[in-house]
Amino acid sequence: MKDNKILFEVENLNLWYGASHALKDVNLKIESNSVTAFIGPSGCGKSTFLRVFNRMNDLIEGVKIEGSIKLNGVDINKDLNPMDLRKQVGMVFQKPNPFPMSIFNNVAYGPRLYKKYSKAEMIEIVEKALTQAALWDEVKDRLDRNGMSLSGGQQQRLCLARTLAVNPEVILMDEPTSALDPISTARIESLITTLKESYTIIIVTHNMQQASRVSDTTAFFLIDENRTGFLVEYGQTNEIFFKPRDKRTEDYISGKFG
Amino acid sequence: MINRNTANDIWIIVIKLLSFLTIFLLALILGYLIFKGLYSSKQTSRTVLNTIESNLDFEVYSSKNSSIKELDWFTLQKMGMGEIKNLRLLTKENVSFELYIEESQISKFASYLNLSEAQLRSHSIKLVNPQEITNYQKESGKILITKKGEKIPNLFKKVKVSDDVLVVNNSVIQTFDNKRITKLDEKQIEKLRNNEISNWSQLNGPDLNALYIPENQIYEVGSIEGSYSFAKAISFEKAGNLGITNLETLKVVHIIKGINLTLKYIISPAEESGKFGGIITIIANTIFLVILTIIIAGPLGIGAAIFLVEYAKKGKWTQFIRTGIDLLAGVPSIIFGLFGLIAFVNFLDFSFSLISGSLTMSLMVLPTIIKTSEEALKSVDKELISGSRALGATKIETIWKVVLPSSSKGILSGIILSIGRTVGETAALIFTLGSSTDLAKNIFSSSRSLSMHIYLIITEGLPINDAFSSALLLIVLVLIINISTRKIMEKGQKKNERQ
Amino acid sequence: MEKKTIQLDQKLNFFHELLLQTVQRVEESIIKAAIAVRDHDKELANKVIAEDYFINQLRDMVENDAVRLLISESPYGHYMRHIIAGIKMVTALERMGDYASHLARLATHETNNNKFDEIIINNLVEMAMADAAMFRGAIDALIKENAEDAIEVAKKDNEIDNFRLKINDIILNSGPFDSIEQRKKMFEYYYITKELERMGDLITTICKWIIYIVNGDKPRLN
Repeated sequence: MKDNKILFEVENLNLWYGASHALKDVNLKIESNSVTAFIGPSGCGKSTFLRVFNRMNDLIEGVKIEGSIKLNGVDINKDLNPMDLRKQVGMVFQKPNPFPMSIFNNVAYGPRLYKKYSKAEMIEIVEKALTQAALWDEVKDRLDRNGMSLSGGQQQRLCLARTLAVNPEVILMDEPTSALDPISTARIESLITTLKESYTIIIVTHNMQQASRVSDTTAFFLIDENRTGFLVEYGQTNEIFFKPRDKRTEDYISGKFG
Repeated sequence: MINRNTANDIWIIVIKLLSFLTIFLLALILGYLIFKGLYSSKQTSRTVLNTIESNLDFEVYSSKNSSIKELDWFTLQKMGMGEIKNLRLLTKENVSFELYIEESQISKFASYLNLSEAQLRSHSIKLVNPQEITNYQKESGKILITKKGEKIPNLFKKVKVSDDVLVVNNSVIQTFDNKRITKLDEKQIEKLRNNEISNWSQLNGPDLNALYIPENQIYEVGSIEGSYSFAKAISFEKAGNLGITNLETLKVVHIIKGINLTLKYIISPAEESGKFGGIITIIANTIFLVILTIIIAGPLGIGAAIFLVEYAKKGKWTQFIRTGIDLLAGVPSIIFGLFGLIAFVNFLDFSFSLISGSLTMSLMVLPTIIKTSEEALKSVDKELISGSRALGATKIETIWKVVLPSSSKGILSGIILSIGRTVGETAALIFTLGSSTDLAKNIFSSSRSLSMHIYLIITEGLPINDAFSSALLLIVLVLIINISTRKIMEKGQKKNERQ
Repeated sequence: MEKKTIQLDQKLNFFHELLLQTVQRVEESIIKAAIAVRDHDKELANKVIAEDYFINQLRDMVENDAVRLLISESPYGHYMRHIIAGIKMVTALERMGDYASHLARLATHETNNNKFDEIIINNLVEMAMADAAMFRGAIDALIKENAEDAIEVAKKDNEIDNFRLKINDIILNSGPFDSIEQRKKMFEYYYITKELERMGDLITTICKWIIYIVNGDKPRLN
């Protein structure tokens, strides 16, 4: 396997929602240009953990974080501005959420926050992003149509293009295909495989088949008797799904509990 | 036992009936206002009878754009004697009056009016050659007397002249048994003409026999009790000049039907506190008031709503503010008027002015704007906000670029409600806006809004038709403001869509 | 999730049962074939040959059930390994069944007074019994899903190989022959010996797949 550098280093991460301990002592590393899947039963904190990487938990009141996450060696909570962080770490959500604007303006929204572009520059950026998201051919003739007039699968690819337009290093995906039909799902999955050559992707999914299809590394989370989420094991996807080290992982992937 | 399907059908019919009734009532009210606004009938009484056009051997014309369509003999006489300097008393036009007479017709006209030629000439009439008439442009305020059959340019229109009167012995108009005939309507006049009336008591008058006297014996009317005659006005005057007493004319009910709201009225400025002229200044003042109020209350209200939704922490203070807003929404408008009087007119020394009125109205509409804006802001999908923040936008950027555009429709409806309230407000503005009908020169000018005008028309005793035409204008104004505000917003949306 | 667990276990149990059925039938065939040859029991021999049909049927059933499970359950881990191993094992088992019926066929031939016949046939019976014993060990390891036991069983393949060397020796030194039939018979003994030795290899393969089920390794044994 390629000798990829370590992009994210998570050490002893703990998270509280008010008094409730949501995540306990998480330690893991994310390699660059890889796809990492977070799997586990509902409520185990995998989406919460995903949101730690771009500090979206900051938007919720009463959230407290202990431990460190370093992006390329920089602590993202102490030494980095959330806005700068989110420029490098983008996110695609479970339910497609295009802005009620034209397709063009949707994609241009992100870049315009940081710099003033000329019309020609903007067109170039938008085209590149839409092409990377495999949407350009379908919408190039109607860029001024409202983004919400697209189908579900197209909307999700639009959201992906929107994220790609700011040229992040990392793309976080929170169950990106759970609201889509199988064909749209397959398209997004094949996109993930293509995109990993240029980006690092972390995907939360409750669909194990999806995790085994697209990811290189898989991290398995569980919830303990105190309703606190923790990391059980993580490693190469082939290993996790072929012969996991931990019996709890074995039981989960065999469908012994949901 | 009614089964569920039948019950369902019955309820649907009931609902349909109720909504139909509501729409019908609405249409009725609107229809009535539109009708009265556009078409009025004024009831007055006048001396001359409504007859068919008299046979004159000259022709009378008025300026094309004048509203004079007919004249009675008495008015014409006054014109000839130079007593009429301005047409205001006859029509709503504030124009000076000029009488033009073609040279050849002077003597005819003079004898018709029972005046001497010298009297006519001495009272600054203008003598006119038909050829010179083409020089006179569309000025109003001219009456032209010309030869019969003369070709007159299109600047003038023909005027009907009525000169018949009903002459009665003054016994007919005495008070009798607490009753008195002051005027008769068309039907009663007809009956008289057809000899159907034998006794004046049939017309609510005294118990006297009605005796018809032909015109050439009009002098008899002065001596016979209960007698009457249909005569020319000139005969009546001549009889009076000859010293015949006890001659009176019985007034006739005169209904002037006509267009109430004219384009001219809309676009002319108001003069002499609304007695004359048009209404454009008042409309303009109303629009100024609305714009100023929205400029003040809009940003304040939207800003407060943004604060409440996005920034305020849940707690006692936020609850306190919300309660305060609700309270403010329920306060009667007259109290705002009083507050405005004390605070803006007196304390801040703005006096009766646009700014006092706007500030008062702003306070009144602020709760509405805050509430509707709050609802609109809350209804924005949280996912959109997440999406924007995840791209690196700050809270303010997200509000400005995503939340506000998404909630613009809701906010706009609040603004439109406020506009409607401002335009329709009377009580609060009476104490603060002023009452001048002139165009406001700056925000410190006193002025009057359209709804105030309606109120003041009634209290100042102006014709009620004006009230209806103002009311119609008010409705149209509100409609126009609503439609244009919506169109502007839609255009803004489209601009946002396109690149 | 309880219901799902039971369902999954039930489906795997069914598959496992099919596998064990196949295994048992093959064991029976080997032993019965050996006995038939030893006792010249034509009837028993024919039974063995006939029952090979059922072993083939079972192999198809196992394969079909495996496909069904893979499609519907998308299994992972131990579950998946079990199914894949089962498919591989059942191929080997079917081979073993064939070899058992070939052995049984010997009993249907006419007996001979040739002394070499006696010696060879006795050795063949012993060899077949050794196969059966080794197989028994593999079956136990499968039922217990024990990798260490499987490794031990695989070592017994050496014994089977030694048997073959011994019998080959006897066959090579068994000249001269009176008739063509006798020479033909020697060829037949040779092939059967080869097949009985192959049986040992196949049992070793089965042991490998047992280890695969347990821990996913596929070690080189022997």
